[in-house]
Formats: sequence, structure tokens, C-alpha cells
Amino acid sequence: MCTGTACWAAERGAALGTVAAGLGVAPASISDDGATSLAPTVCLGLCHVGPAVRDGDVLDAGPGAVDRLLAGACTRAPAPATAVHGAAIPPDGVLLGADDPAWPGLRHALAISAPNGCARP
Amino acid sequence: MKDADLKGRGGAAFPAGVKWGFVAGTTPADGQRVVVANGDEGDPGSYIDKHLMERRPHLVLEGMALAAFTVGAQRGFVFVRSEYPDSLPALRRAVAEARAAGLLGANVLGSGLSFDIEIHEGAGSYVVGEETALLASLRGLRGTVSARPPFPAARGWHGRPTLVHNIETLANVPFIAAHGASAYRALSPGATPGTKLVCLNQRFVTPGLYEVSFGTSLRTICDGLGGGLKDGHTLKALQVGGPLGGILPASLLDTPLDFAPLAEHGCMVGHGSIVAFDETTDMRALARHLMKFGADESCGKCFPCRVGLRRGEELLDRPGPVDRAKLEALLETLELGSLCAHGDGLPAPIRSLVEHFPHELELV
Amino acid sequence: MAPEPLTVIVDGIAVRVAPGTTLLEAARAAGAEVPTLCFDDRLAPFGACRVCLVGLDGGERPVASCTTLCCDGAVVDTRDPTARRVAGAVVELVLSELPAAPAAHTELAAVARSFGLDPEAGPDAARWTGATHARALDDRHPYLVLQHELCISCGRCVRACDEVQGAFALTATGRGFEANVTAGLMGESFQEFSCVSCGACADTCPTDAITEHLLIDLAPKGAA
Repeated sequence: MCTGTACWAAERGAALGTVAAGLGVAPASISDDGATSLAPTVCLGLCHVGPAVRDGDVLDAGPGAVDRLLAGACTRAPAPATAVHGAAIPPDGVLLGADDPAWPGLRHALAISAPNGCARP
Repeated sequence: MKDADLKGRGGAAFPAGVKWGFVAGTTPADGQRVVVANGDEGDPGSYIDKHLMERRPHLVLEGMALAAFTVGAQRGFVFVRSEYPDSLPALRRAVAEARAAGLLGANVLGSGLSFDIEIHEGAGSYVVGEETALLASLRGLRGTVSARPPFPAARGWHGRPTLVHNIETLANVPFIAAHGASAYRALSPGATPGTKLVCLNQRFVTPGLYEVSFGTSLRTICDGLGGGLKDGHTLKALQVGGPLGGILPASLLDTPLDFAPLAEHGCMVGHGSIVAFDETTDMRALARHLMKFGADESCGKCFPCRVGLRRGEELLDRPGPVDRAKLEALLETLELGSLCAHGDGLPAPIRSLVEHFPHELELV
Repeated sequence: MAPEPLTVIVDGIAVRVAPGTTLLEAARAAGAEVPTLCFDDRLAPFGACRVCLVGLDGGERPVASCTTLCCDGAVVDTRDPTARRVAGAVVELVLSELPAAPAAHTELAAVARSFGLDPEAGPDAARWTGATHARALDDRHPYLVLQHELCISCGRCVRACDEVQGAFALTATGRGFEANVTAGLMGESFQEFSCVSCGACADTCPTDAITEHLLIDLAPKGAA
């Protein structure tokens, strides 16, 4: 369970109590049969939806996430919206936008220079 | 890189080009240098590096390779926090693609240069985002902070000169390499060069990840991009830049997002997270929440942080008034005594709350 | 050729030191008293306790003298009011974490007295009070006794074991207020590991968290 500040701002930590009661496992402990553990964690990086939960490697968040967790039916949380704002920034952004596996910046740098700043002959 | 004046995006804003100069200027006995990408994005409220590692892994790896070839490094690591199970496979896939394309490994693109990257999973600690603790964890040791100097640039991973950068910092490098320093500086006219990713929390109408010029006002970000708060709520305050960032009351929303203007109000750009608190928020409970976070995540090495944050949590947890002199003496002890930015930074939001919401804190 | 010595002014007294000397070493060379808890001159500086804070070059922010190296012309003030106030507060925090006052003969008690604090007063006398460490006695070792509640995580025992004896029988564990020393992560006693019973840990411990069984206690009842 995420107990980070964004989730706290969303629901003041109430979800942790709900999950603990639903699972019958106290926060930061393991069930007697060893099958279930409940770990509060700092942040799961789903602050745009919150409250955020993680079951195995599936991150879920937002309305219904706690119910899905208790039902063992977590689904992947939606990705955050993205947008670029600023007249001086290219429309696709510098850091947002599509990933380029061709590494054009590296190709350009290698074409014009050598390591440690020496000009290539 | 020095002309571009890229400031580190992990929170400290140290000029990246200067750091590259330190690492390049070392003379390691075995000639080996290391580049480490810090993907231990633990700041509650931040999902910037998560997005970059999962959606733009090539941009991050390309930035690492550019850094490596400039400073003379042969090995790279991406340290990914274990709370991000989707980041690991995305980065591993991108590394495999880059190797297949001849962009990583021996003799990259026929240049005679070699560089390769390993993806390393963390073990669940906030303070491991601090670079000395991160390097300890990367070597399989307990994730605790060490005194600097020696800085990692001089003695880092297994004693080798090591360039440690935040993920977002590295993601800026390919643009600089491809388009040059002046094009980079032009992205934010009259302000800190480059662009900044900011991320908004669930309280907003349109929470998300936004790439903005430095100098954009927080009002534009919160009301324009974020659409204000949802369900008719009004904004009470913002925490900008993570748990070590100050808290800005709604009355100061016209403050520009940049280092100097935020510092005037005891706040920081930090890593770019923006967490809104609505009008129903109890600021004493928020102070308690932040101190509990600090105490829970203290690495336990230095005494002020190890004991002091727990005492701070207890001081705010006891019902009734809080002795202001005791609280402020504790904050000073943390600020001036702590070994790293965790204990030294956590007082900042508490100081903001003391300044702007003293009655809610029940200070006497 | 030996490198040029540096000149450092400590509380108004000039001392000449070799490059690489720490402010703490320079201060002690000048005869100044700087209290410490995690420092032991047989071990590498650790920088954890923050009790050795001093003023440097008139700056507002005190520095840990054990991990800060001397620069030529450095001006060190071991009586800097801010440094003393913060370091004293740290000692007060340490006294507040122990379930009972430290024994009068311990280094911690002596350091507390040097700040004008009463080490006998107990944890409730500190300005900040709260949880104390739970009592946990480990007396399974034939010669050494571990009282975990007295551990202040200074790391001296672990480093003495590593750096002096080279036995690597101890390690730090836990984080934050729960940090402590242990021999094994699964509750083992340290003689089950590589301990050679040298006693370096007990010798360096500033709080009696690790002590030696007294021979008189080991003697069979009635033997005396």
C-alpha cells in the first residue's frame, strides 16, 4: 500500500486500514500462514490516480483499486496524461514524446568529436 | 555541457557540466570510470523518472552513453527502485535493443569506444536516492549515507571515479548533444536553461505529467494545466519538489517555477512533483505525516536524523499544543547536525507550516 | 619530499599539520577538547554522531570535525556557540533513546557531562522524549554480553571488528530509530560466526552495550 504524501492528500491514509481489515493482516506484518504480507511503502509513482496498491508486480490505483486488491483482481493503473507547455519548447517536448532507439544525439556527438573534448582529426 | 548549464534534476541542482569535468579530470589507476543513473525516485508525489524509464528508456540510456564517452567511463548502471516493477523490463529491453544496434558494448558504432550498462534493482529505501547510499546499495551493502568528501566523482563505485546523475538529468543530454547549448538554453528564455517535467497529484482535475519551461508560474501549471482542484475543492497549499521541499500556501501561487523564486519562500524545484492539499486538509496531520515519513525512512546512520525525526513525529503526535521552542530547536538540530539532505531537508516543510499555519499546528 | 605542511588556527592557536589531517586531529593537536561518540582513533572516521561539530572559518554552518580535512589557513572554533548548541542537542537526543541512564563510567556519560547535561537524569529529562529501545539481552557468548537497548548505532564495534581484528563478526542492522548491531540477521549469536573473542567491540563501546562477562560471574558458584 502506498502511504506517500500524494495518496495521503487523496484519502488521508484510510485505504491502509481498509486493506489491513480486509486481508486480516496488520500493516508491516505477515499473516500467520505466511501467505500474505502487507507492506506500507513510500510511493508507487501513481500519484495521478491514488490511492495506489501493488499486488505482486501489478500496480493498481484509483477508484476501486482497494476492492480489486482484496478480490485478488488488480488491474494495471492508467498512465498519466502528458502535455507540453511553453512557446519555446518543440510541440512534442524534449523529454516527453516518442522514444528514439537510434540515439541521434550520440551519433551526432561521435561524428564531430572524440572523448575528453579532443577534436577528431 | 558547461555552456548548456544543465542543472541536476535530482534536487541539488548542481551544474552537470562541472560534475562531468570533475570525473573526466580524475586519474584512476586502472583507467576505469563509472556512470550511474539514479532511478531511485522515492519522492512521494513524483512519477517523472518512472515515466522516463518506462516510456523513454532510450533517451536515458543515450544520455548515459554520451556522459560515459565524454568522461571516459566504460561501465554504467541504472539503479531502479524496487517499487517500479514496470521500469526494470522496459530498461532491460532498451539495453538489449541498443546492444543489438551496436550502440552499447565494445567499439560503439566503430568509434573504438566501449560502454555497457547493467540494470540494477533497489531494495526499498528512500534514502538510497542519496548518492553515497545508492553506491553502497549498488555494491550490496546496507543503504546508508557516507560523509562527503570523498565525492563519488573522486571515489565512487568500488573506489572508481563515478558520475552519478538523476534520470531526468541524463534525459536532457541527448537534446544538448544533437542541437547544441544555445538551442537548449532557448527552451526557457530568461530562466534556468532547459525544460522541466512536473507532475501533479490526484487532487487536480487533470493530473498528469507536464513538460514546461522554467519560469512558468505555478498558477499556470495548477490552474491551466491541472485545471484546478476536482469536485469543487479549493487549494490550501502545495508541496513542491518532494518531501524535503517547503510548502507554499495558495496565496503564493503566482510564484514562478524556478530555483531562486521558490527559494525566496523556503521552497525548491526539487524533483518537480507538485502535491496539492485541499481546504479540508488538517495541517497538523500533514506535519505529522511528513515527520513519520522522515522517521520511517531515516537510514539510521547519523544521530540527529536517527533519533530526532522520531522525536519530531512523537512531538506532533501527542494530542494538544506543541511547544514551539522545542520544535524549533529540534528542527535546527536536524538542519545543522544531519549528515545528508534527508535529516537536513525534512525541517523545510515543517518550517513552512510553522510560518503559514501556526494555529493549526497548535504552537504555544 | 614531504608535502608542505598546512597552518590551521584552532581557538586562536596556530598548529602546523600535514595535508590530509582532519579538523579533529588538528584541534586535538592544539590541545582543544572536542567531544566525540562515534570516533575512535584506531578506526577510520565515520561521521555519524555529529557530536564533534566545530565552527569553521566563521561560517554559519558547523562541520563535523572528524570527517572534514584541513585547508591551509583554516580557522577552527571548537567553542562555536551554534556547533555546541547543536551537538549538545544531539547528545540529549541520544540520552532520550536509552531506557535508563548510561553508567557513570561510560564515554557517553562523560560526553554528556562535557555539555553540561546530567547523564544520571534518565531519558525523561531530555527536552524531547518518546520511545526508548526495548531491552534485549544476548548473553549466549561465553565472554561477551550484548545489551541491545544500550546501542546508539555508533558503529564502533562493527568497525573495530572489521578494521582492527579483521573478523567481520558484527554488522549494523535495521534503519532509523530501529538501527542496532547484530551478529546475524536471523537472531544468531555472534560466536556462531567468525568471532575470535578478542573483545575489541567491548573495548570500544561507548555505552556498555557490549561488555565482557566478569570473570567473577563466570566462576562456579561457591568456588570463591
